[in-house]
Amino acid sequence: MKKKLIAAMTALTMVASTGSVVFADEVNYDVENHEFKDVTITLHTRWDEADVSGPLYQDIVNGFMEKYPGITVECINIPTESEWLNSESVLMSDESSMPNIIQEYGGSRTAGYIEQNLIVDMTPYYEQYPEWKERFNAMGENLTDFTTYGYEGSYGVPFTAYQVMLFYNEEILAANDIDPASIKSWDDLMAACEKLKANGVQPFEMGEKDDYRFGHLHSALNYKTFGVDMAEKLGTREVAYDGEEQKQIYQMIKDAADKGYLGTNLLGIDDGQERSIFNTGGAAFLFMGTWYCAEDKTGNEFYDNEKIHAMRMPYVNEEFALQDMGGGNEAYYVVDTGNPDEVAASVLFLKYMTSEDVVNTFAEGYPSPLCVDITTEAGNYLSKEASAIIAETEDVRGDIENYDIATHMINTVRQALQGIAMGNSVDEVGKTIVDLIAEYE
Amino acid sequence: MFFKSKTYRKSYLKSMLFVLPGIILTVAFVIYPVINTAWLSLNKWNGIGGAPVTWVGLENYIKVLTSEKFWKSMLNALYFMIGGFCILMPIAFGMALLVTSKLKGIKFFKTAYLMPVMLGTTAVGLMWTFMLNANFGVLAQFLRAIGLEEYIINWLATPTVNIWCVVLVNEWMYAGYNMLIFAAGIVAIPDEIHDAALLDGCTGLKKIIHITVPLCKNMFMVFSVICVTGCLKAFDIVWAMTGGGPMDSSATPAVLLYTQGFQYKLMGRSGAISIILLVLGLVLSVLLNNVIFKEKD
Repeated sequence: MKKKLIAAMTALTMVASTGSVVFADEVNYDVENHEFKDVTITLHTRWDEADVSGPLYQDIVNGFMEKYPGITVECINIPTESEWLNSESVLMSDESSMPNIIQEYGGSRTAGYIEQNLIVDMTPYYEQYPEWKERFNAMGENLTDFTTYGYEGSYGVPFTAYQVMLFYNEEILAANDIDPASIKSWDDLMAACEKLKANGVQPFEMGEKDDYRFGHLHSALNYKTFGVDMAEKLGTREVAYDGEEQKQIYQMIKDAADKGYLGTNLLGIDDGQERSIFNTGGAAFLFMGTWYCAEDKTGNEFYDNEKIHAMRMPYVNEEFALQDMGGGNEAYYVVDTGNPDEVAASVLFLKYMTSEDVVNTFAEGYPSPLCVDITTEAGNYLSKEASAIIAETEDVRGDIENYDIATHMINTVRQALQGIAMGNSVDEVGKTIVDLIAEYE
Repeated sequence: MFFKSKTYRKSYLKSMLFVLPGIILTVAFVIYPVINTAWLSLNKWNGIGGAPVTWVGLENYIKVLTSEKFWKSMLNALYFMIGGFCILMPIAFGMALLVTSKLKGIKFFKTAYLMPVMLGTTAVGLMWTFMLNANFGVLAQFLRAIGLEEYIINWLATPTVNIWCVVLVNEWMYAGYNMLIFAAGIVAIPDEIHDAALLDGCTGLKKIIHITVPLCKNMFMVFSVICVTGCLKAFDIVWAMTGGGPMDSSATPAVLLYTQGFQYKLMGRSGAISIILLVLGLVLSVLLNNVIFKEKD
């Protein structure tokens, strides 16, 4: 009898424990009906209080906390790219310090987090709320799709989008007898630069002190010369960084830099100063992402008089005229901290952030392309010009280094490209990258 | 017998209780991080929480010691040391002589010399970055005004020139602090020695060389140890002024260990650089103490 009792109890315990495991594994994806009590979530972002978008982002946070009083949102906002990147690395190095939501740009760095199961797959949440998923356009796919890295699912919630373009000062070009409509190819652009330089006008004033400037130019020229597939080819080493194709790109940048077209003090000014110089008529062109359209232009007479315009980045190979650098600009990834309440609150925050009214209000204050469809007539004249260009774009890719298998490539390539501004040869640029790849393997 | 006595044990335990907080803090914030870093330096880790840590033995040390970047950064640390001993030390000592003298208006000098020490490193870095800007910086404007435009270069972007600019700003910033070290030594010299030197006709430069400098030997030792270890771990002023760039041309070993760890995600290699710097700092400090500044019997 005793034995029977023990056996029965053991069997019951086994069944009960199995049941509890099954029960514990069940996650409630209906975050809107989840009960939140004193839940605090942390956001790690690049939001800039001094930028036009800063107060708009803060309004989103405040609006969310008002709507869901059981959740407190704490923000760690670091606008400078390098500082933000370093801060994220420090926080993500230990499970106890990880923020609940990180702002990221997709690519291998995010893939590294996914590999460690640190990023929440949004698929079941989108299945729970199909109308939420339907609101995203195709521009943000590069930020949420990690199948090329071998991870199925949908990671992150894309928000803003961008495309790298040429902005020009109509007045300066007219004064130098240059028709902007005639600039279709890189050669056309270089010819215009030559004319401007000969007339004592500075074509570009790039701020390569922030080493992403040549990094972006390198990505854009690759797509305009070889098409967007070059991202995957370089990323998988099918094409070498010291091969003839890449040397051709470095040479284009070097030629323009050596002739003084790209700037007079490349390593002495940053991207903020670069924009200020363009805004005050110190340069004829600005090579920049469409976020430029949304920036505060208070007191900018060229902008007020609609003298600044956007044009597509000129092609090198006409075949790829409509392939550009761009796509999703920023996405927000929920970090799996192991706390179901925090994960649910984070998902709910992103759902709120990308809801129709919130996005519309944001777009009205910050007229930049978005990965979420808007239902408002928002935008200024410049953002409308940019949107018209984007509408014709056939394919886009982001920073070319982000498609690489090695996470260090974004730093490695950008640093090597900075060498061009220091007078390095194209062979040296290629060799530096390849040597560093070997060193870091 | 005394050591085993109850009284001794009681007083020993009491003493230990007083020392314990210090020991706990040292173990928690010095010994443990060093041991952890040493262990990390023998492993490979990408810096992501939860990612596997793989044992690689001495590979990180081999990679660091055979890396051109590391030796370039060591050269920059050497520039800091040269600047420290050849520029900072004489200036700080001279300033100390001045503020301990009986000159009129000495309070003004004391305040002026200490002003840069009170400014934050980032503020100093930013201020000098603007002053050294080749387009609108005050130095460039000055050179332009006196017709020396051809000497305007991008000081903070030209290799070697940029690290020397940072070194000089560092000396400017820390001259006041080191002045205090030397001033403490100078005021400690008894007046009788000065009077005796005066009677023997030892004045001016002679007095400085034969009386002040030898009697400030300990202060020179303190300065040397602080200078050598400080130069090896120089980070903040470099980061604020150049970020170690362009192309790592102004990176010091401390900047390199930071970028390798948090930008390149090579935590093991970053740990190896830390341990190399720690060992080097200890060896150089011991050498300075036991060889150069050794007390003669």
